[in-house]
Amino acid sequence: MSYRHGSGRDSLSKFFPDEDLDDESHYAGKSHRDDELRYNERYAQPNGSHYAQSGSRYATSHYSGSYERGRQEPERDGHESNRSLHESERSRHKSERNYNATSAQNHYDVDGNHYARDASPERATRHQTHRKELFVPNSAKFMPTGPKSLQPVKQPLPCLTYEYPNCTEHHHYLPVLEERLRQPLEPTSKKGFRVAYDPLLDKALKDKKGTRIVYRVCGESAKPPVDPRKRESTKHALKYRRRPYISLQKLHTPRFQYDEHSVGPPPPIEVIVWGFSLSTTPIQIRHQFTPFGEVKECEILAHPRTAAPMNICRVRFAGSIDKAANAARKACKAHPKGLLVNGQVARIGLNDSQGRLLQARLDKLRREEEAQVKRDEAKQKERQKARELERQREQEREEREKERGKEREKEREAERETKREGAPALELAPSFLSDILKVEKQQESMDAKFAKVVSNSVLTSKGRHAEIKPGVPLLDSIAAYIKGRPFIKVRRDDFPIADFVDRYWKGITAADLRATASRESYQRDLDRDVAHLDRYAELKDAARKYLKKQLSHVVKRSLATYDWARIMLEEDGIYVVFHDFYEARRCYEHEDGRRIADLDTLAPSEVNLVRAAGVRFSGYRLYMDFCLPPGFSSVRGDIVALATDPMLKELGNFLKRDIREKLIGPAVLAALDISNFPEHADVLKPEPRVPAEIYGIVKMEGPTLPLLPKIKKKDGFPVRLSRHAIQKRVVPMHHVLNFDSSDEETELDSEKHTPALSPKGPLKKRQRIKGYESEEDEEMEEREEIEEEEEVIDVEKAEREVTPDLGSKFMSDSSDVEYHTGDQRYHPATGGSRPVFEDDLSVPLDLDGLQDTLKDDEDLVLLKKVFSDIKPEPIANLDYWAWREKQRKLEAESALDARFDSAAGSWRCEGYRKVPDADKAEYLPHRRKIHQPLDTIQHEDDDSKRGGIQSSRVNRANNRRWAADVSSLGTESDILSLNALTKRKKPVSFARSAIHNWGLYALEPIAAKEMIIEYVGESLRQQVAENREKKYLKSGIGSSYLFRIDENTVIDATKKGGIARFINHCCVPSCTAKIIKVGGMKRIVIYALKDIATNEELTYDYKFERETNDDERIPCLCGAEGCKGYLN
Amino acid sequence: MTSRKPITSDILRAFLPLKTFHYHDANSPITSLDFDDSGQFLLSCGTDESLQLYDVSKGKHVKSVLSKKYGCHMARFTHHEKNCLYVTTRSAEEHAIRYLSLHDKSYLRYFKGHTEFVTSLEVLPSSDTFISCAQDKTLRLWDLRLPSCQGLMKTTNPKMLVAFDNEGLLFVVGNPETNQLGLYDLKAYENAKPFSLFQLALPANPETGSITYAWNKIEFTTDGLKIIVGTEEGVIFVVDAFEGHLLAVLNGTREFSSRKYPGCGSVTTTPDAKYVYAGSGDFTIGLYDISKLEGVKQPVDLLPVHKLASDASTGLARSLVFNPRMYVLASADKEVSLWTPNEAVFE
Repeated sequence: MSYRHGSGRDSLSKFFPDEDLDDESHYAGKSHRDDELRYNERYAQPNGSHYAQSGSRYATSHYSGSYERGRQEPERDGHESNRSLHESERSRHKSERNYNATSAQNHYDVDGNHYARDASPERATRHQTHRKELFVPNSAKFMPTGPKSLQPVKQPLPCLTYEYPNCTEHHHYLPVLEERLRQPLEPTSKKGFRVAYDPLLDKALKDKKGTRIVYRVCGESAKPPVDPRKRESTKHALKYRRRPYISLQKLHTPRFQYDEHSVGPPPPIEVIVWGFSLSTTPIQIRHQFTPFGEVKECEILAHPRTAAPMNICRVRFAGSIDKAANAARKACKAHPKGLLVNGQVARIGLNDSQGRLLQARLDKLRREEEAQVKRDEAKQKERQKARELERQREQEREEREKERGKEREKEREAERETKREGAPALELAPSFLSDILKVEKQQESMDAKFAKVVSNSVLTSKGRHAEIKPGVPLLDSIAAYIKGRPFIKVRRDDFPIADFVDRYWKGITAADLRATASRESYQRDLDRDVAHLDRYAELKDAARKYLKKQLSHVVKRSLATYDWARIMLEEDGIYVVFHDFYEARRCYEHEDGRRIADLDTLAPSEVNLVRAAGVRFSGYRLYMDFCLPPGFSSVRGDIVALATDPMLKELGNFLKRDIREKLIGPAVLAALDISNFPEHADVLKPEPRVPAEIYGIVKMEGPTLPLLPKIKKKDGFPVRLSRHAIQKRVVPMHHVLNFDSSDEETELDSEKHTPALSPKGPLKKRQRIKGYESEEDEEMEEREEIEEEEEVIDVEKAEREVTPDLGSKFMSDSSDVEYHTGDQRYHPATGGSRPVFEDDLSVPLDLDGLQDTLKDDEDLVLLKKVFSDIKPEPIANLDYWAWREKQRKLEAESALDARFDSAAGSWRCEGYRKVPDADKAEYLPHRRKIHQPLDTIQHEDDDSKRGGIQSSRVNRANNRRWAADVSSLGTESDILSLNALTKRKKPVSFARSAIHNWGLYALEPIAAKEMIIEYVGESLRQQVAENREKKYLKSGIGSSYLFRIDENTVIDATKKGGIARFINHCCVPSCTAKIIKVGGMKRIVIYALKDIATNEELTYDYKFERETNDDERIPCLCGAEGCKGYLN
Repeated sequence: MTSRKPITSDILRAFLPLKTFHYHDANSPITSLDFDDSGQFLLSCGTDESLQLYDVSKGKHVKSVLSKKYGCHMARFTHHEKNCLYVTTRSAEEHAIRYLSLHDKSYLRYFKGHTEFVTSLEVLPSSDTFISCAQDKTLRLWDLRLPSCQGLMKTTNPKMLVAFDNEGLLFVVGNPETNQLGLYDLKAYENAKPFSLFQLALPANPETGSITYAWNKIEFTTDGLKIIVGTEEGVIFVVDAFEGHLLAVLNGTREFSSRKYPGCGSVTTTPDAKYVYAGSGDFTIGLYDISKLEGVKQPVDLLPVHKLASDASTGLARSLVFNPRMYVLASADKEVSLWTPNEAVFE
């Protein structure tokens, strides 16, 4: 091929008629073209190496690309280089027509690559055909042989020659060449350039711009560059370009997974809960956290020292770190202010990997404890100090007492002397004298006894050094009141009554004196004084009494909560006497050392008085001594006495009764026997008036329970003691066991009694039952026992009933006996005898009936007698006749339609005849219409209540909680893993179905949208399911029990599964299937579409795919109105 | 991924290194880091002649691609998912730019043309064009679909840096020796005449006293208003993209200890164009606020408003990139570290 410049253009036009050869639009400019061509010439090298050079660049891409294109669509566009064919060259080329075929041996393509001859036969042939055109770039080797004229003179550039008519454009390399030729070779980097248009890139513009790459070379255009951002067109163009990167104001936050590359501590996976009540169990806390994620462990921490549970709990989540961290974070976010656990709000917080939160809480607890301990210690110290002080005071007091005692003795001595002298005795003297004397005596006796008696007189004093002092001086007078009971003494020293009196006295006397003072008469004064003196004493006495009263009032008030027997205010103190030792001790323990109740407890009037008197009781402490007078038996001894006392009493009672019943009674009765008084027989009434007790005695000879005392009204009508006591229904004994006690309360009238024991009076709710027949003994007695709580006994009745013959058959004139107890059916029959079975006389007896009437031999005899006057019919074979009669009956029952009769008498003779389905429905139970529910399911218990309508959500929540509880028991295996869906299952059962074979029926009404049952079976992969389907078809299982969950999983219930597999298809279904996720696993669940009645068959739409092959469509037997006729 | 949160200074201050990957050979420096368009993937290539791909949304390493035959440098994601371009470092391989599919680890195209080491490679944000700058004083534009060069521009300096603007209308060529920035229109660059030539009046380096710096990165901010010039000396310049005057000089980062391998610059802007992160040689990353530089006549001296601290295990931030769509900052020296804000700052 040779390229010629310019000349070949016209020649081309022949072959490319439609091409506008003048179109130079894809040339930038002539100069460019010139350049290019010159370039070609310039760089054409003998060995065609420049082709090789560029070829390597293009070999892989352009060549191959254009090669392909060349195959399909030869480029027809004009190529300038083609145009460069010159006519003057024609001759030359013509001469090449007969180019030697030998040159075909060496085929070269444009780039100088050697083609193997056999590379492609097509190519080879093509090559061969216009071998002539091929002008091979030279190398000595490839010099074409042939006429000299054909030998190239120089290295011509390849050029296309299209002057030969048999040259077709399908030659494969032509387009390549065209391609190659039309593209200017890339200029080496002498100057900068820019591709303004590349047909390969901007394919849309190819029509407009052609197929040449357009270059813009540096220096070509002189246009000054413009800032593109300011160009108007930019904004418009932007829209159509891919959205460039513009500034974003918001960014996502990533969440990195924690792994070995992570820097920093791992995210917290633990949550600490604190502040809950100590009665909370870990399971309760765990429940609160399971919604956020699986909890790995939840433990309530124990105190390090005492091992008691603290109210701090640690909850750790399971799973990978990220999952657990996520769960922990969610949990804390969900309860920012605290979590309600076990009724108390507990706080929660994230515990990071170093456990700082936990430490903080533990530290806080510890600090609190320490503080507590310190406080306790401080308190103790205080107490100790107080005790010390008390002890000191006590000692001082004792000393003082001793001293005083001595003084008193001296005084007394002096007194005695003075007494002899007749001096007026001091106030305090007399009692004390005697006191002291007595005390001395007592003490002696005490001392004597003390050694033996342990706790004769116990004196403990709290608030001071606790001590037991024996031998307390006790005045006789006081002792008389105390009477040997435990008492508390408040010592006079602590509560100086005299001081009170004095003070009070001062208060009054001044006023009094003032009131009475007058200067009128000295005499009067004198008199008055004298009188005053008397009055003084009186007043003082009065004052004392008054104060005493007040004081006692106050003391009583302050000790009001204690069960004291007596409070005495004596000279030497206040005595509070108790009956009960424990009470006394309680009072002592609580009140010792306490202040007297404040003024508030006094009545207002008293308050004023007291205030006026300047006396205040409040503020005084009651220092008590707990005293047990001598002779007070010890507590322990008492217990035995306490226990035995009532028992003894009881025994005594029993003894008395026994004696009464068994000795006295019979004796008296015997004495009163009528037979002993024959002369009074007619006078005396047949039933002597016997006190109720005797009746009781008479009735019971065996062991019986004691009777309650009976209260009788004046008019002789005994009154029921306790109406409400009767709850039991009276029933004859041999029927009692028929009923459970829980079945009670069927009888509203609870006041029914045994028929025998009803009085005549018009008491409420009594039935009058006439006609009373003999009853048996045991029944009576049992009834008695049953209603022992209440006995309404008419004395007359009693008399009547008491007969010497203790068989106690009741009188036949029972017309006035009323039966108001028990069930109607248990009452004795009245009226004449009635037959047990009522016969319907309109229906004639047949053989069976007749045979039925015979119950035993006697009946047979009687029947024979009845039929004795009927003439027997002559029947040849009785047995056969009898059998025939019976058969007739059977046949009548199961008589079939005439359609089912066979003309020949037996179906077997006739051969096979298909019975249509409609007929079958008549005699086959399971062929009946599906909407008439079958009774193939037997219900055992009709009475069982099928539970009220419970809120299913609550139920489900409860079940979930229960299931969570069970599974939280922490078993490693999943033995205890529960299928939560089983809890929601409704009671359904399988039975023969009218649609097909077996079906599933609802045993109770099911509301719409309720979950019925889960479709359980083997879970298979898609491929396994396909396999199995084929296998089942092959093995003859026509029904398909494969249920698809999703694209990859199928549930197969053919061989293993739940009863949901029995649900049949219906075109108008009552149920639908849904796929729900339970515990992360997908499950198939059947829901009710509409309300389903009891015993209704469950159906749902199988949703099989429409089968294209009409033969393989399965007919639908649902029989519904909207039936599509086929399953698929 | 959570919902998007607006960018605030608080969040940017709360960045903590959360992941450190040592997938490159030990002690082999990492020369480039790049996030892809969606922000989900990070690509790092190092002198151990391998490319490592990380999934940033989970913080996991996804893939490692070896390129022992060619070496690798300047790996850049293209707009196609998981395809990247990188520069061969072996001179025997004709300094081709290779287009690699990371997904199946196979090459899609080679872009041959440069005769010297390629120092700069940038992908146009809006289309499949990319530009490469090499030490043979040429700048070539390519289209991903064709292995032939789509444009050629002669430069005067072998050490030129190039960057595209955010809209893909122009590119800027920076000449560190003359402190010049030339802006060229993508539609008319063949004359090698920029439509805007900015002569930067850079302040003298206090240590060396020269006004020329060793530039290692040029970047447009995402709003196209500023050009950030990062240097080896640790100083960063903010230039107005329309007028060309110096807006701010960001000081306060120390330069890195030198290494013989080139890097991709330790400066990066946040997607809202208000903040700049700059790595420092003292194991910190400085955060600068450049949002208040409108209408500034005199260059402002800015210091970091905050410094994020790293340590030897996290590594220096010789290469630093901010994720275009997520709050992730990637830094690399000999190991790749991912920084995210502390979660507490979001509550």
